Amino acid sequence: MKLKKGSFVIAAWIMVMTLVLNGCGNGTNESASSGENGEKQVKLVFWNSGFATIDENNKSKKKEDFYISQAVERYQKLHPNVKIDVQDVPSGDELFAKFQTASIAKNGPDLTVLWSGSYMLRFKQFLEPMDQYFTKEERDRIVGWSATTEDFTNDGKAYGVPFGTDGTFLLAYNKQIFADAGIDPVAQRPKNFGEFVAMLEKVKSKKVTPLGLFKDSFLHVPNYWIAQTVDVPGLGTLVKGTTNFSDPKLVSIMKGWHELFDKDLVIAEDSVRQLFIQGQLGMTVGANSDISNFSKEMGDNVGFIKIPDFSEDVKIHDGGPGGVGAAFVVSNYSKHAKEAADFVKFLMSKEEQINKIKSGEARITVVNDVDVNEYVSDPLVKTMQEMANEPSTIFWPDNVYPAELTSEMMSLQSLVSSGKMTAEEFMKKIDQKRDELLKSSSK
Amino acid sequence: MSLKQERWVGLFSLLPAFLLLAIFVGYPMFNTFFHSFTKWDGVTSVFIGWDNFQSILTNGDLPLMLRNNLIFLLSVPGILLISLTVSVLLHEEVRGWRFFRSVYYLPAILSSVVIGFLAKSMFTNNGIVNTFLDKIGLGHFTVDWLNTVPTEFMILILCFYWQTLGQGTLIFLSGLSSISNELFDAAKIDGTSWRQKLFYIVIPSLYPAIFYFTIVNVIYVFVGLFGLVYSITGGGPGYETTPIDYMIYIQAFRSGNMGYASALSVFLFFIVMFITWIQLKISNRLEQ
Repeated sequence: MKLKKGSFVIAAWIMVMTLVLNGCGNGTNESASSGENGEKQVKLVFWNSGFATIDENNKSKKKEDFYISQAVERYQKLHPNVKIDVQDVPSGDELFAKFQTASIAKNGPDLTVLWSGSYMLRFKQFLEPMDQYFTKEERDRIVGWSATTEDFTNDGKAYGVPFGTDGTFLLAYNKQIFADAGIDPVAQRPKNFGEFVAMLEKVKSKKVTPLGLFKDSFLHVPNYWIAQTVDVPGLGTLVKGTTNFSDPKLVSIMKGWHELFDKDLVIAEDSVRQLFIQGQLGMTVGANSDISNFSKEMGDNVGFIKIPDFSEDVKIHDGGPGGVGAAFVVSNYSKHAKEAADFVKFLMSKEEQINKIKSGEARITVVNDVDVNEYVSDPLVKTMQEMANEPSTIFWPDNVYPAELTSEMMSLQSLVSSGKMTAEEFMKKIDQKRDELLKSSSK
Repeated sequence: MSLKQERWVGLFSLLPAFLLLAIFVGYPMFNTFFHSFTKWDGVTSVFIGWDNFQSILTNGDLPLMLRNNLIFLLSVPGILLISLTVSVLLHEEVRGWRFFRSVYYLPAILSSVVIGFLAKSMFTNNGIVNTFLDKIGLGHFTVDWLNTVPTEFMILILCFYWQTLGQGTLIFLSGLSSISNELFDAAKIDGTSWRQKLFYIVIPSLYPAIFYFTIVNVIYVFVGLFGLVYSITGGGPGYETTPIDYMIYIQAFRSGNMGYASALSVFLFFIVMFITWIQLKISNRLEQ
């Protein structure tokens, strides 16, 4: 009996230890093994947040009908020793949290797509520098490297590869609603904020909500107005603290932001795309993909204009925020970083970029050896590609600010729109936060 | 088996559990404590002493976070009363008790995020609540529920109540079923009223359950409301509905301040410890 009790305890102890030690293993999932022909078999895990794998308008569409599945199949045929496991993940904050935690544990993906600029560079301790994998020629045929480099220059040390371009962020409008209000926003394009408000008020008088924005549209509208007021180098000086956000010119932008909400000209919620398509909104914001979808759903009833200038004396006129908003990244703890970079190169190849455009999933491209006009007949897409190439398109300002500063802006801006914080207080807080960050980074 | 052998068997039996606790609770806690004194980006950490704690106390966010936690804390007696009332009514088999008995636990099996998104869709500008108010001619009562601080708290607390009612009712029902029928029979013979029965028999008999429920939910409002805040208000507008646990998320995953977030976690740990200690003291006093 004694023996039995003792044996039981020891057996239980061994079982638990086995489980624990097994659980404490390095978590590698046999990502490399030898195949039948003796060639090393490689499994790449790709966290996909950039390529479509669901069609909201056609739920019966199978996964293999989408571009990325077909591209993976083509790549695997060319490289029989490589197997790519595409795992769909959400983008934005959810992906950042997932990637960060997984990377600390070193069990994240081999490659993924992250928002570019500061968002991506926040994780550079987990990212493989891409310079070594791309020759000068290969690099020259892709535009937008500055969105992935440490110093935001085209030749800097790149921690990612431009994934695609958002084009220029625009305002889409319902032609019928605007016609009923007696406005032609193209012919009578507002020249400043005052005229923009007057235009929206006319729409409001027809009992229609004039403008629908997303919860994060601070990034699309006032943030762009700030950028066009100070110009791109000016954004740099704001970040470095040599100029201040509490500059009266910039404060007036936040006052304008409050005015839009105060006069009930705007609603800000995540369902604005649907509301716009249903004809419940006069205007909304959108990237090139949104504009194409609106056009598909609303036909000729949708038009678009660039976001009006905030004032006549801004430094960049008639532009918009946009550019390379996302980048492929390869994790530096990946055992197959080279193979992952090769797969990225394959996706960025001329043939694959053409395939992507032909699939209809990409409207415009970031490679300069593919002319979209050859493969797309839609004049809307052509116009958007032209707009994307215009120098007045400013790279997303929030991708240039330090992530902590953007986080603070995003948290506090709703207090300004709701009138709980004045524009002056807001800008002062942003200056304070920026100064804190500069102080802490100098330690 | 001698006493000594029994002691060894006992120790060895406990060892696996202690080992698992040390790995899955002890190590993360120690790690968090260590990193609270560092500037940490997930790979490299630089020792900065008390700077993170100093920053928590001086950067001006703390009073607002504590206020938000206090609002949630003050909502705990409300759900305690509601759960107690529902369980007494079910125990007394009021009309419709069979139906309610089969549905009261349903919200408890839903995840916070599901409840949160459901509530969010109901309370948006064009949501079912405003549409309903409009349809019945109460359009002037429509509110931008998710952009007004008091209504945001109201929705968060409503969801917290909805989610917790099942758990509370279950705990109190099991407590009620353990009260001896003889006690009720004796009270009946003595001619006690319903109110007297409630306050002199039911509630005192439920003290342990009430105490357990309160402790669990006080801890929950400090460390468990993340899902609801994340899905309904996102902590906004500003930081007006951001409790400490949500700020930990913002600092760690939006701003990348892992060291500061660790310090905030340690801070929260001590707050919860302190409040639990007070509750234990009160409980001991009540038992005496």
